[in-house]
This record gives sequence, C-alpha cells and structure tokens, in this order.
Amino acid sequence: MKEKFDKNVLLVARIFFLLFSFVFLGICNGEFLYKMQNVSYFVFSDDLREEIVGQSGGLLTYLSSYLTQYLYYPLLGAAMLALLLSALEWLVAKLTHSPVFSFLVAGLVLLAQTSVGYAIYDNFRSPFIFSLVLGCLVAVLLSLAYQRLSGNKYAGYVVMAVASILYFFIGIYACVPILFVAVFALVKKEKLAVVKAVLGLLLTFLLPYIAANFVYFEDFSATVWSPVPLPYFLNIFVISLTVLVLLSLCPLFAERLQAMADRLSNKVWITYAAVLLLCVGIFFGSCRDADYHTELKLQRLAESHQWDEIIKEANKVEYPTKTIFVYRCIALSCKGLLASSMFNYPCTFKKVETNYVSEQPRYFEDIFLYASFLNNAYLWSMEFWCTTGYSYEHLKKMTICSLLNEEPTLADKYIQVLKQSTFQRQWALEYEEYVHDLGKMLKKYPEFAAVKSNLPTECHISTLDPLRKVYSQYSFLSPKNAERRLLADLWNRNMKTFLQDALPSRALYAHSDVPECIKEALVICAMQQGDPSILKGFKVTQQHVNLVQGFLNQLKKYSDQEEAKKALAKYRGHYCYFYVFANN
Amino acid sequence: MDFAKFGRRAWAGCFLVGFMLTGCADRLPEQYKSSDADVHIYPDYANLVIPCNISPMNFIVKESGKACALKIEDEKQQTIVATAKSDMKISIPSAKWQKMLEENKGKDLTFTVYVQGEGGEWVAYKSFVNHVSQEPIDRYLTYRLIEPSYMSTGIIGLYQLDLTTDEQTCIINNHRMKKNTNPSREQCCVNCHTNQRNKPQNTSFYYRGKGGGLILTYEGKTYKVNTKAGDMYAGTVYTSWHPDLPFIAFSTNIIRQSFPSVGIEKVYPYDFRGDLVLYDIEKNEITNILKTWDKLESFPYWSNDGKMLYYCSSDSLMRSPADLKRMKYDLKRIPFDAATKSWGEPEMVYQASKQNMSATQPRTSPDGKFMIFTLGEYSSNAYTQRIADLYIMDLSNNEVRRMDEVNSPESDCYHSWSSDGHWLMFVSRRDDINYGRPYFTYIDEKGVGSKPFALPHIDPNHDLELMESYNAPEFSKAPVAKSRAEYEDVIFNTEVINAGFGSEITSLDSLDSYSGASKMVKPY
Repeated sequence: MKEKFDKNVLLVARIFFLLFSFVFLGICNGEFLYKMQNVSYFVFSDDLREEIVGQSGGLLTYLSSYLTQYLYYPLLGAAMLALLLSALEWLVAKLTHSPVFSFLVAGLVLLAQTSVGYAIYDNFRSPFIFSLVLGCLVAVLLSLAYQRLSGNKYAGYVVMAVASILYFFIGIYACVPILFVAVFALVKKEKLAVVKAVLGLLLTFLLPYIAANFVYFEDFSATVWSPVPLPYFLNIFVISLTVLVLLSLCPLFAERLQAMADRLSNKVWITYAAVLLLCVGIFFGSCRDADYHTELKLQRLAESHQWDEIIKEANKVEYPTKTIFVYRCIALSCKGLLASSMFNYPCTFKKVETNYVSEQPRYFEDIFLYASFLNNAYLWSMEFWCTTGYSYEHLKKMTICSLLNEEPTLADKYIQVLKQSTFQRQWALEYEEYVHDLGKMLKKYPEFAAVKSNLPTECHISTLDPLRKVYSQYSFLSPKNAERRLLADLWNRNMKTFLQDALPSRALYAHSDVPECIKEALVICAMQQGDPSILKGFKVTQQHVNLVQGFLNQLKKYSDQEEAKKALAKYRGHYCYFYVFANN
Repeated sequence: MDFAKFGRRAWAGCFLVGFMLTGCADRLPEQYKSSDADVHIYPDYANLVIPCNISPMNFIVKESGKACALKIEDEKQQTIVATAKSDMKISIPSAKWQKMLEENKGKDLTFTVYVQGEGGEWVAYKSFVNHVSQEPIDRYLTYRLIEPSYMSTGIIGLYQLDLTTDEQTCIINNHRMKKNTNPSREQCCVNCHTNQRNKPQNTSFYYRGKGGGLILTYEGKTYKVNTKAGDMYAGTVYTSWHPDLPFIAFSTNIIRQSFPSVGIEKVYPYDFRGDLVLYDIEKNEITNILKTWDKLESFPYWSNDGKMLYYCSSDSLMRSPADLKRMKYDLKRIPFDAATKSWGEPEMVYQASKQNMSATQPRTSPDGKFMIFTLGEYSSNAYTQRIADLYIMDLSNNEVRRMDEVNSPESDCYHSWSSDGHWLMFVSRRDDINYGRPYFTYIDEKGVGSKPFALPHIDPNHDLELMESYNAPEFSKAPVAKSRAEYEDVIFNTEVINAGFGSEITSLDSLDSYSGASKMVKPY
C-alpha cells in the first residue's frame, strides 16, 4: 500500500515536472528557443556533416544540430525537450533508485539549457540545447547497462570499452559511464575495484588526449570538455559539469540522499514541496533578464515585418536598452513615423552587463539594412557568419541584402542552401520568387521599397561606422535622406552638427511640416547661440519657444539631476527632455 | 585518421552496396525524340579541352524532367552511360571515366544528354564534343577556403585537392586556435601555400597569430620562421620560391581594407606599404630587394630561369580613402645574379598606369614564352573588382592581349601555370560575383586558351553550396610533404626561428626607388 502510495506521489511529481519543463521552455523561453534555432545552421550537405563530425563529440553535435531545427516551432521544441528531460529523470531514477537525485539532475539540465542568456550572440554552440540532454541520456543508459550486468565480472570492462569507442562520437559524455563503473566498483567493493578505478581515471584523460592530438587536431583544453560549452561560458559550463560529476559519482551518495529524503517525505507535501522548490530554483536561476527576452522578441518581429507589434512591445519598456531603442526606431522608420515619434520614448537607457560580445551582433545587421546601407548590412552579416558561427539568421540577411542590391545569382545561391533546411525552406521558397522579380518583393514589403529608394548615392569608402553614425552617413544634400541625418544629430545631441545640417535643409520642409523634435531642437540652438534668425523658414511658433523656455526655466531650479527628472516628468516625449536627461 | 576521406568512402561504400542490392544498371532510353537544342548543364562542361587525368566531370542537367541519362562515346564507339533521377545529377563512374580518358588522349569524346519529361517521353538533346588533351594536368591543387568578405577571421584552412579523384585533404586549419578559450576573439589565419617549382616537396605557408610564423618545409625538414627582421615594418606576405635555389622572394606589405556603402563590390583591399625582400633559406637571412619610400611593390614572381624577378609597382601612395582609385600598378622586373646575390636595375615591363589601369600578379609560363597578369582598375588586389581580367604578354615581342576566350564579366584573377605550361588555373567570380571558384583552361602554343571549365566535383552542387571562396590556389605536382599532425607539431611545439637581417638598417629618408637595395644610394 505504502509502495503504491509512493508510486502515485512520484507519478504526480513527474507529471508536474514534465508540464513545468514544457511551459517554462515553450512559454517563458519561447523567444529564446526560436532564436537558438535561428542562430543554428543545419543542412544535409557532405561538407557540413564532415566538418561537424570531424570534431570531438561530433556525431552528437550533428544529431543535436538536426534536432535544433525543431525549435523553429518553440512549442514543438519545448515538447521534445520536456519529454527528453522526463526520460532522463526516469532513467536516472532507475539507475540510482533516488527520485530526489533524478529530479535534481534533470532540473540542472533544464537550468543549463535556459541559462544561455547573452552568450547566444557569441560563438556559442547552439546544438548544446539538445546535446546536453541527449549526451546525458546515452551516458545514463550505458551506466544502467553496467549496473544490470554488474554480476558479470567482465561487464565493467565491456562498458568501459564501449564508452571509449563512443567517446569519439559523443565526447565527454562517454566519460560518465567510465567513471561510473570505477566508482560503482569501489563503492560495492568489487574484486579488482582499484584496477577499474585506475583504468577509469586513465581513460578519462587519455581519450581526450588521443582525440585532441591524433584524431581531431584540437587544443586539449577544448577537446577535454567537448561538446559541453567551453569554460568561457562559465555558468553553463559549471552547471553542465556539475550534472556530469553527479552522474559519474552517483553510486557514492545517491542512495544516501534518497534515504535522507525518505525520512522526510512521509508527508506527501514535502515531496511536492521539494519538486516545487526545484522548479522555483530553475525559474529564478535561469536567464530572466526581461530586456534580453524583449530584444529576442523584437528581433523575431523584425524578421517577420511586424512593425506595429515592435512599437507596441518597445513602448511597454520603462528603461530600454539601446537595442530596444534601435528596433523601435527601425519600426518607426518602416511605418514612416520616425521623425514624429523617435524621441517620444524613455531616455534613461539601461546598460547591459555581459561578458560576451558587444552590442554589435544584437542590431547592427538590421540598423544598416533598414538605413539602406546594404553593403554594410551584408558585411556585418558575413562578419558574424564567420566569427560567431554559421546561422540561418545571417544567411537570410545576406539573401535580403543580395536581392535588394540586385545580385540575383548570389541571392539564389543562399536560397538554394536555405531550401535544404527543414523549416527555413518555407522562407527560402517565398524569397526564391523574388530572385527574378524584385518588384514583387518591394510590393509585398513596402519597407524594402523604402530601403531601395533611400540607397545612399555616395559611395563612402571608409571603415565601418559605429551605430551613432549610421544615419549621419547620409549626405544632407540628398533631400530624401536629410531628415534621418538630422535625427541622428539629435540622437547624438550634437547641436553644432545639427545646426550645420539643419540650415541647408530648410527647403526640405518648404511644403511639409517640420517634425516637432526638430522645431524644439532649433529653439534650443537659437537660445544657445542667441540668434533667433536660426528659426526662420522652419515654421517654429511661439508655442514651441514657450515650451522650451518653460522647461529650461524650471530646470534651473534643480541642482540634482534625478530630482529634476522627476519634477519635469510632464515634458517626457519632448526633445528638450531627451536633450537634457538622456544617458545615451 | 582523415575523417573526411573516411566519411566519403563510407558513403561511397553504402551507395555501392545499395546499388548492388537493387541491381540497377544505367541504361539509355530505347525510344526517344531528337532535339536540335543545346542542353543546359551546370557546370558548363560542353565543348572543352579536358585534361586526360581529370576526375569525372559530373554535372546537373538544368532541364525540367523527372530523369536524365548521359552517353559518352569515343571514336571507337565505346560508351559510358550514367543516369540520374529527379535530382538530375549525372554521376559518371570513376573507373570507366579514367579508362576512357586514358584511351582517348588527343581524341574527341561525344556527350549526349537524354531527358525524360513529366509525361514519360525521352528527348535526346544536341550532342557536344569535348577534346581530351595529350597533356595531363598537375595532380594537386592547394588553396585556402575563406569567406569572401570579412574583418575578423573565422574558421579557415588550407587544403589540397587531388584533381584526379576529387579527394580533399586538410593541410592545416586554425581550428586549434579558434576553438581554444573564447573562439570568437582569437585572431588566427592560415594562408599562401606555395612550393618550389622544380622541387615541389619544398613548401611554405603562413600560420598567423599567437606563436605563428612562416611554416617552411625545406629538404624534408619543417621550421617555423619569423621573417620580420631588421627594420621591416611588417612581416612577409606574397611568396615566390626561386625555381631551383634556396631563395624565396617575398613582398612585405601593410594591407588594409575599405568597405564601400553602395555598389556590388563590397570590399576594397589595398596596400598601405609595400616592398620586396629576399630570404636566403640556408643562411636564414632576409635582405632587401627593393625598399622604397615613394613606391609600393608587391606580388614578386621569379622567371623560370631564376634570373629575373617580376613584380608590380605603383608610384601612387595611399594617404586617404580618396587615393584608392588613383593607385595604379605597373609591371616591372629586376635582374638577379645568383652568384653574387645582387640585383640589377628595375626595368619596366608593362606600364598599365598609362592606360589608367592597374596591372598585378605577373606570372611567366614555365617555357618563358608568355606572361599572364591581371589588369584591374586600381590597387594590386584586383580580385574584388568586377573589371579584373587576365591578360597575356608574348615575352618575345612584349605584345599584350586580353584573354577574351577565358575572361568573364566578373573578376578573373589569381592564376597559376601548371608545371608543363599547358594548363592555366585561375579564380573566377563568374558564378555569383562574390565567391571565387577555380577555372581551368588549356593554353596552346600561341598562348590562346580553350573554353574554361569549373573545378569538377563528385557532387556537382558542391561549389554552389560552398560558402567560402577558393583563395590563392596553386598547382602542385607533388602532395604536401607533411601531414597536418606534423605541421601542428611544428606550429605548437617548436620555438620560432628568427631570421637574420643582412641589409643595412636605414632611415626612411635614405631610401630610394631607383636602385636595388644592395646598392642603396641617395639619388640627389
């Protein structure tokens, strides 16, 4: 009766964990899963297969690369991952007879998977999401096989031999059963336990040494962990390694841990509370940075041309990152609202603290693309393609740049490659139609038509420009681009340059309204220079002068900037407020 | 263990077993309609002169249909038949192909393609004829694979391809450096694999980055050499081995890149500085060949007798981006006396700047009759310029001709002569403007090329799907002397040997461009 009761409790806990994994991955980390797929790359080509399999842990990475494609549909990917995690938990429980231990292991794997964070923009191995859980599954299966056959005196050596061969296909995960055999033999005080222990330790170091120096020609320090992410990705590395250590050493303490738990879990609620605690720990331990998830969402929305959604999402953010600001600008620009709404936004920017790459991979490709600098956008895509790894995302951007730059053969090359992928094929088939019919693409996506019509007429031979100079690269002599240049000056808060650009641009506004932000900026310039003639020809009214004057008069009353910011909150959305308080 | 080779063989084995099990044999259709239309195939392998030892020239039939077949027939009516299903990829049986080429040296082969339409009817397209040359092509091609435009380096490698089997082996790559610690930040590059013309087992390439150097294999031993010596402002770059003697001529350059915002050309590489130096391998000593403050020199290349060094030289210096299109290079040469290791006066060979053009990469034919070079609009690095074309100079009368028979509307450059001078390989961007692919042409006694053809692969889609460019490919008669493991051992486990500097260290003011560095005299 007690056993049945325990089984039911365990079943409920397992269902809870399965559902939690699914919801946590699919709903809370849906954007992350999609991005993970977008920065991965898998096609059925001999070259790619040879390249991936020709690395330590290559076969596992290859299989995981294939499965990563399924994250294209985050809910499908989450379901696959949740099932794999549950299978791992079940097998570990079989191995250790300790559900507490098995939940801990599966929970840590889930934690590692959802802790990637900003490393996603670095040279992070995207197949990791699947390879960690699959590698652990293979390791546990081998350990389980040994445990079931442990009566046979050769079983340990056979498992070690099989794991050694498997090492060249699944990397470090094969060391788990090798060490498991050694530890199990020691704990159970088997005959020749010391021999197994020494052999286990020896193989753990010898196999990566052989792989590094004679098979894959890699650095030992990289091979030894492969395919677990390098120590550079510290949090993921530590969690993954903890999982492997726990699985290797589980004969030492898993049963003791369970005995301890059994003493406590006579009351059902304690079991549930433990699983709940684990889930809460995973939730708070994973990457929960709201800006990070918002940025991923904005990137996905930009890819699917959902500009209204981008503006809506970005407007929800109180303290935006520069990346969020940029995507909002791109969306506003695509909607033709840039001048009227660019500065109608919070101006206290949050700096993202990350050990990984700078902000460049987060928005450079898009800002250059939608600012019509096609070559720069292409170049950044190629740059990240080279340095942070092949990805569908960069390939799609290179395709769009090639199409807009009227290089059909180049675009077609990329499209033919994309067509080989399982899910990106749909995208490729759509864009294949545009290879010889650019007009159709421009008609369907007016934002691309705007990109095409705004192509800079000047050929800037220069090294790459940082973000703040993207729009500034437009010639102010070119009317269609002049406004963006003025807005760039305002973003830079460089009133001297703004004035130099603004005065020759009067003609631009001869038959249209001057954007409010430019009017306010002109008033600021006129006040700074003591020269009201600056305002001539720009239809600046007394109302604008009063607004800026009122703002500046009130500002004088405060010596503390934070205090002033709060007190002058009613001016939020006006350029004068941005000019004074922005921390960009 | 070469996993790539192993993988290919495993797949080939699986295919063979599958083939035997299904018991299928390639058969031609018994009933078909004949058409006068030319068949569209990729790569275009119609009406060519082909080497008598080249690997099967597989192709894709670019006609709509659900199956296709190929018949290759020689003058004795012996045939090879290959068929393909809906992927329309024709794969010619390797052994039969090699046998047919061997038996038909100097003769014609007739190719007929049959396509089965959606309704099941077969059409035989107009046949085309390829001529099999008497002369074999050099067996190996070495090259670097690299993305076509970049600032930082990704994963790049030097490779060797056996042209008779399409087997690629990695000579060296930068995996080890790039996969260590943080992979995206380590800058490491491998490039410029070259060998000595008459002793191909002597080779060199660069492994650049932390702990790198010139990886030199000479007389069976491999060394890591730091060739930046004396007052050189940069390391050595473009390499030319003396055909027989233990000398290597290098250019030493500071190379920069510019990135235009508009247009199809996406990157402009240019030299900021450029001079020439000589490395004496046995003395481990660098000496100046030409060190000039008012000129840029690059791309040295020895004549076949080793008595003359050809190079390109520009009077315009790069001071600002606006100067880029003013950088015009002429072709020059400088006599070399091996006995005294001294240089004569530089002489003009081809003044491209007079035509407002820029000539670069001079390469003389092994028989010394011709010189082929690249003519672009500016700079010595013409490979990104669509206008870049190959030109041939008859060295007996200095007559220059644009090689219209091999050039394309896109960039054609980085050429290399085969050891017997009958085959020319060059890199062309004709397929998609951005990615360089090797093309081959047969050069006859008058210096006229045959219709060029793309590098054959077992999978004809290979280069279409390859996301890297072939960079600086070179022919070689012999395979690389060392294995990748041996090279890695030298790179990572040996100390770098610093080359000595045998020239006088001089201040910039005392340099001139009119005399050889061995007699550096101020001209005024």
